[in-house]
Amino acid sequence: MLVHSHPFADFLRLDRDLDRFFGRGFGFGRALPASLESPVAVVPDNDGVSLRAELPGVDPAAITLTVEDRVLTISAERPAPTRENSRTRLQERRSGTFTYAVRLADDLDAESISARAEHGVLTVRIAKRAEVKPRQIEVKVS
Amino acid sequence: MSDTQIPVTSPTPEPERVFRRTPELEIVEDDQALYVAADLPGVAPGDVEVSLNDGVLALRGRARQGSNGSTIVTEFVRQLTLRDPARYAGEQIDAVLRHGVLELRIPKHERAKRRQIPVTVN
Repeated sequence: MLVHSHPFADFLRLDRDLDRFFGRGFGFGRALPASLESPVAVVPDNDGVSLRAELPGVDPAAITLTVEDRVLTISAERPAPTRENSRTRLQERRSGTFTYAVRLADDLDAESISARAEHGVLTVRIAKRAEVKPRQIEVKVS
Repeated sequence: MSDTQIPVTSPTPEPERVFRRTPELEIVEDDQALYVAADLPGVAPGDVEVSLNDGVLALRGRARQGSNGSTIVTEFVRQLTLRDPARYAGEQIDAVLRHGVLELRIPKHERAKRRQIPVTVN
């Protein structure tokens, strides 16, 4: 088996830089301490990367994904609840704007991104560029 | 019908890791009902249980996530004790799961609803 290394350390470092750039941090409009885990899980494999973001209560139609200059940005809005003539007894759920941006590592194909939202979870799949996928090279016998 | 015995093999259990999480809640009350919303990201409608027994509201939801042959199960569990449970019509709870949020409506009994008493002027 061929071991293929790819610059994921780079991927994550740039991710943090962008987070500072956006200033607000992860989460629904709330700046989270840096020690808290990102709500977006990044899972690499041989063929690419999957991102998993928990966006409960967000209508899939209210999720926007854009790619510009190899920066993938996920934005979503969860409106604050409005119920007239009512009293709030407990509020732990966050509302507001969610923004997550990540720069795509060089081996990922910005043209090959797909996204699916189901049961309040967004899954984004980014494939590797075909030429950088690990492949078996046949050893010819002469 | 053939008498051929089909060998029954027990399936190899898939490695499964279970994580327990406490879902975030929102509780709102008005004159008609108590509304409880719980964030259960990844939970499908068939994987939620809601019960109200002796004033204890129990929520449980399971989300399954497969990756490379292993399954990660997230179990969302939360219990709430209702103050003055006799006020609620526990058998009439409405539950809806929408985009990973469980929304419950627990109606109040007629006698517990706040009534506006009209003041008549003679």
